[in-house]
Amino acid sequence: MTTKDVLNELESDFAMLPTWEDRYQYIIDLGKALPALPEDDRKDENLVRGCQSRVWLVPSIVDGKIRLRADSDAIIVRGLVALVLKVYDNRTPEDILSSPVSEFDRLGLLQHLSPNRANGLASMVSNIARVAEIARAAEVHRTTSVPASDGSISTGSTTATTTTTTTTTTPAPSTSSDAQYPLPTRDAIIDALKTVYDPEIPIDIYDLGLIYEVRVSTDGTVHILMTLTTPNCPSAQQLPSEVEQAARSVPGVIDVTVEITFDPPWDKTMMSESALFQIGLF
Amino acid sequence: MTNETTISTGFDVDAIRQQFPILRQPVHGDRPLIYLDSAATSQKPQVVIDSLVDYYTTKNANVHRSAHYLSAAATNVYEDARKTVAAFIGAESPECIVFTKGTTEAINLVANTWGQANIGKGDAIIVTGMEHHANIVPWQMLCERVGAELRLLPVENDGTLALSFWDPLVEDGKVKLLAITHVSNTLGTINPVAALAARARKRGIVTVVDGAQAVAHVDVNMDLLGCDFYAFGAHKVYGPTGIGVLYGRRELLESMPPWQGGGAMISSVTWEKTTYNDVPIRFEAGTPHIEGAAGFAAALRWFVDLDHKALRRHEQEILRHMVDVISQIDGVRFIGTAPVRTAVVSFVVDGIHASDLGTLLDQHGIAVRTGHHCTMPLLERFGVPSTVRASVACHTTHEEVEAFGVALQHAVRMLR
Ligand SMILES: Cc1ncc(COP(=O)(O)O)c(C=O)c1O
Repeated sequence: MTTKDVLNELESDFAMLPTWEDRYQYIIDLGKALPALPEDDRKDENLVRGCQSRVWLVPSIVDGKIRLRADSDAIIVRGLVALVLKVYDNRTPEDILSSPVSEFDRLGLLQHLSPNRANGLASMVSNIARVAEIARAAEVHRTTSVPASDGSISTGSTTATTTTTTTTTTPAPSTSSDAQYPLPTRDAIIDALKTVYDPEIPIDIYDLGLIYEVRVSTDGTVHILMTLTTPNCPSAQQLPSEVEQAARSVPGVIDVTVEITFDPPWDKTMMSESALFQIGLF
Repeated sequence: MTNETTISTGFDVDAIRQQFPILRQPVHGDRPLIYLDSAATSQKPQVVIDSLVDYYTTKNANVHRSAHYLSAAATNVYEDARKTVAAFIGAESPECIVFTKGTTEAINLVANTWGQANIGKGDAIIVTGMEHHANIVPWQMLCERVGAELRLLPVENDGTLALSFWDPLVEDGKVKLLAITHVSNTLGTINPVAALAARARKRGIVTVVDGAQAVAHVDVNMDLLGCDFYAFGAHKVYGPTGIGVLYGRRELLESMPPWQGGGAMISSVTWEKTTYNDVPIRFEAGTPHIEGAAGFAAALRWFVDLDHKALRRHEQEILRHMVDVISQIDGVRFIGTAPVRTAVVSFVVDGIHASDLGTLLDQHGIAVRTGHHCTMPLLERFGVPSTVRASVACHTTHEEVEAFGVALQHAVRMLR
């Protein structure tokens, strides 16, 4: 199933609902059927801005697909949330980005929503699109690159092109890099990550607690599991690529993969003591 | 029953309705509009709409500045409006009436002039627990600026003021100002403003009354109320948006420094020193909302011409009828059950979000307000995040209330 398939199905469902009562009852029933978010997830960090009633959205990226859980305290909005999840949950970033909120126009629904509601729906979908952008960016950065013969590190934009370059220009990349550098240490990676700063908080991302996991494999591949302060932060899109570049700059690193997760979502308690001290909370 | 009550009030609501063109306009395509949101803003009778067109068609110019014919006409419109407002609230003189953008700006004006000059570190301000944010936030901001303390006169379970708290609140002599709403926009409670203003006066406490919801529903007379400041806007008494007034006792207004600087509010400007104009112009910097004043005056003239005794009785009947139809709903809880009420009925329904009811009522063509009504501390006190609020106006009919009751039942059925 793709977003388009679901939208097509919904379109024919809605076509069979002639009156506003039918359409609203359909949405209300969807709202009643949506599983409730646990109390822990109904927190302010997960609130979608721009909604009149409260809407919580908890996105995550699993196996390259966007997973969504969401809830609202009002049942009609809950139904709209369920509709949005039907369309966008468990889809690839590309698929999500190909179906903007305007696709919902087809359901003949938006003109029945108050401007407030329509805005809320739009901001929920735009939050999802942002997560999809981040996931797509992270996907692109999950690339194989190797040290060029002069010892400097090349960063390919996609796996395919890098591999092609490699085979033609450096005959035996892995052995030469093994010879040049010892395996990078986890601490060296962390030191490099400490040079990256959150765009909105003057604290490096490691002290901020955005890095959940740093794994260095014996083949020189580094895997970083990280989160963002909020999925709703537009400026956060560049962070994964900065993280990837910082890790790559460590001698001995052959490849870097950056994985974004919002599970668990970041909160202030994840800051290191020095970070808390700097922002005056310690 | 419906017919009986209509007849018993002797109020010709059909004749009134004829004067509101917007009430003839269907919504959502084909549904007759039932407008129960006059507490947010009232609809405008034809005479008010005409007054705006007439102003721009025949009198438009700037006021207080030029010597030409139209400027004199515009100035007359504007200053006549001031007289009309003064007469409407029984102010001692038109000079006690300062035009503002509305209630909010009027209260901010007091906070930034009288408040800034007379309230300092260690002083205290009392606000009641049922104030609109417009009568809370300016005082919080003032307290923060000058280091004063904000004290709360709490609300009882039925939505009346807990007057037994008055004495302990003022005992230490630190209170300089009381900010109180005349009629609560969420509960409908009519507060005993005259009694409290008298108690305040005895202790040298200045009383600022938020009259936004009162003017369309209760008789407002400065002499009888005995308050120092009274703020209200035109748009909730059938006048245009964007204009309102601050009434202030003359000696207080005269003692107050200006707030906003600019044209009109000065008497002379040199690089060394500017002297300020007399009240009330001192507080009206810049070109005012002249056509708003024209519409305001037209609205008040139209409104005072109604049979007020019959109008009050009609509105009380309508409110009682509303309470009746809402009471039919299972699990309903009224927020605000004070014995003396007007203007609005607020309620919540067990297990149903107010905004869901609002959305479905809207589909029936019924306009109500849902939310916190800019009274978040008050709703917190009642333990609800939002309510449905239905307002009464001079044009509300018993048929509309019946239709509202049916739609409400229908909405609750869909949501349960
Ligand atoms: C009691 C009360 N005070 C103040 C206001 C604020 O009025 P305005 O927004 O017209 O300045 C309102 C209207 O919403 C109100 O109901």
